[in-house]
Amino acid sequence: MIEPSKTSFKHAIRISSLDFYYGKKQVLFNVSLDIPENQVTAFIGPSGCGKTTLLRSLNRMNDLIDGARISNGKILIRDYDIHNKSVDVIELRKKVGMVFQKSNPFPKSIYQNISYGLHIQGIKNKRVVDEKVEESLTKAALWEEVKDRLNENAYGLSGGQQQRLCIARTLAVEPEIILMDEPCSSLDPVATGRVEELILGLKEKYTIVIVTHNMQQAGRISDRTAFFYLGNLIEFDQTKKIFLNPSKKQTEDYISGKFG
Amino acid sequence: MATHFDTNIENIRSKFLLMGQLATESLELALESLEQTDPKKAKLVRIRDEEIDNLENELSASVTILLSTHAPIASDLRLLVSTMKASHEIERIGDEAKAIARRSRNTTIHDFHQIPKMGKIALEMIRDSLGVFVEFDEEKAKAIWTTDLSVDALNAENNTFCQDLVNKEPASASSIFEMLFISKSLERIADHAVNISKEAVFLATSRDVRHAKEFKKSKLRKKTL
Repeated sequence: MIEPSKTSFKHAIRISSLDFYYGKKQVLFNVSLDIPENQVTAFIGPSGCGKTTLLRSLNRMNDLIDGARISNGKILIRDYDIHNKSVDVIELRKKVGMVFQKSNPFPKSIYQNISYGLHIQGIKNKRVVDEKVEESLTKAALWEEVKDRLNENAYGLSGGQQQRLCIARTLAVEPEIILMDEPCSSLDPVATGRVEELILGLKEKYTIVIVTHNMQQAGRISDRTAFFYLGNLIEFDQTKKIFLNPSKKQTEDYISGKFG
Repeated sequence: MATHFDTNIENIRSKFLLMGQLATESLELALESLEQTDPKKAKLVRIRDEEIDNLENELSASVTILLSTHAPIASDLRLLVSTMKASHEIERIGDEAKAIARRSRNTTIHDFHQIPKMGKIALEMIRDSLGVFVEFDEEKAKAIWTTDLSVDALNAENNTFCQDLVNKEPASASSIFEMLFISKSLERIADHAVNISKEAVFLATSRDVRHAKEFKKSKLRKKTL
């Protein structure tokens, strides 16, 4: 399991020489990159480039897919190999939370959406759970909007609110790293703006890795950007460098929309 | 196939180059108006200045629309930002040329001392700065910054010359002051050419050298000594 640690790591995640297969098809080729702590790192690239596969590898979500395997390389989180036999995958996913493309609240009340994870963890004390629910919703910038209707069904929330609820649900179990797979792709610009503000606020305490197809979003919120193409990491650098003067022509062509 | 975006970028580049051409012609005409005391040429400078102003407005509007609708990145972004900034420098050159043309009608002096030489150098500097903007050459850009020092030196010589002249011919003071202002305008034009070439550096490399210590005039002066 991932040891809880207060030690500051320069790199929250270190990926080295990773080869990844779905069955016989190789989708990631010798990918190496170090993701710095307390920063937002964006993965960009055309559909099918492997960025979501890599993201899902970081908390072993791909374990759930038949035939998915890493043939070479490793992923270290806080210097611990997440494929080590001693790793408890449930613990790993608590430490490395995930927010999906489509908001997926449970068909329960707003309150229960947050308290569920806490109950699983064995936290039963109502006062503690109440505090955690408020804290998580506050961190996700949703508390003020829902505090008077915590017992209403989460499906009654708007798309943007549902997505922030999912972020709050992730925060409730105190992760260290948050993975986000196109978290704003189905949100309007106002809701997108709120989620982006939230991400920028969260990076003080968490390391965030986000997959996005929205180049401007990557430019606005990420500190570092990795560009993938056909399963290869083409360029990884500071976002301002990637967006102002990328080193590789392939990167420039993609971010400028001139691909192919 | 050229996209709608590419066509717009090309239009912006064409407008910028036309502005540069008009500014160069303006300065040539302004200098001729001074040396030949020809008021018709001064009028031609005014006409060009209006054209430059209109083009700057059109260019700014086009850039603003492209920035808001296409949110360009990387070299496209650098091109739009640096072109808009460099176009403002050209507009200022147009204004200075107009000022030279206007003052040329008010002076009765015939010994312009270093002004013709400054004018020639300033013209070359404008041409070179537009050249490096279109086709980047770092050495050529740096040469412009060094040339600027010689324009400053000639301006200083003109100042001394004018001070002496005022003492000798106090009745011609107003004409002499016009000469001083013309010299200052040329010195400013050279500065604008330097600024355009520094935008060219940003365009080509994304380095912002406008206020870089190693390229400050005092540093360059020490190097050239």
